[in-house]
Amino acid sequence: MGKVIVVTHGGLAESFYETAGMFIAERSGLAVLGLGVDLEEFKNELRSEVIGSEETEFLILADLFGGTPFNLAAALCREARMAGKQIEILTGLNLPMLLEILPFAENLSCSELKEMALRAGREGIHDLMEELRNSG
Amino acid sequence: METVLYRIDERLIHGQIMTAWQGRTGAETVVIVDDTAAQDEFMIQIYRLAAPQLRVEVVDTAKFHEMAEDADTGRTIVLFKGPAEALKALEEKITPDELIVGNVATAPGRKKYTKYAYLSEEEKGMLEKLQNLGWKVNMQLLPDDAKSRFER
Repeated sequence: MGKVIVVTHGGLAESFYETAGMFIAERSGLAVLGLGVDLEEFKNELRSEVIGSEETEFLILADLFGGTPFNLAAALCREARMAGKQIEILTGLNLPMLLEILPFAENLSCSELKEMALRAGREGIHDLMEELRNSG
Repeated sequence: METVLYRIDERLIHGQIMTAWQGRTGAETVVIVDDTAAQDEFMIQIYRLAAPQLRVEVVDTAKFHEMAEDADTGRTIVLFKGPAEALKALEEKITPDELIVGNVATAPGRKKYTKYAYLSEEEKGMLEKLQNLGWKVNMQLLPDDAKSRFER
């Protein structure tokens, strides 16, 4: 069960969990779900992760805008809202955004986490040669 | 040099964590003490790109000891990549103070010590050595987190 839910195609979600653990052992508050061959299973797991959880706020990080994991997360929004839960969804998941928010997952609201993730995700992308040229 | 924080953080200058400590301490300079990185102009440039809002110095141990005496760097955070770098820089010539251990990533030989720090037996020995020299060694990721005293 987690407040931050990573949803991806294939084994990427699980790899994000493991790789984040190389930096931060504490990952309670993080749940990961990878879409394999069984669409229904993924859908059910995601649904129980949100609707069946005691948490009331969720930040869902999806690998790809328009991809199936994202679509299924988006489709869950209305039901979640009816159940009194708040969901934020970001796409273009990257490691900088995940590492940035993990230490804060328990203490911040999902909209605060979203802002932090958005910023870290964007700022985590560097054009090294360009920045070196500009830094003189 | 007015040191407001001695800290071990594997990722050195990064994101919200550094922002939080900078906000808490009012630091204007970060001094990274690392004998290897200090010889590498390219790495120094990259560290500077990570924190354009701060003055970032990357120095070796000897230069750090000089700076500690008389450098005018304003309120300064002194950062180390790991216990080995911290021990080398702090075991002599620096008055014992508090050393905060933040994020240390996993690596061969390291085992989970706290939620955010992996340490090897050798590194635990290094931190213990600093404690024996009078350093208060505390585990703490963020300024508002509760501190826990390092224990071998």
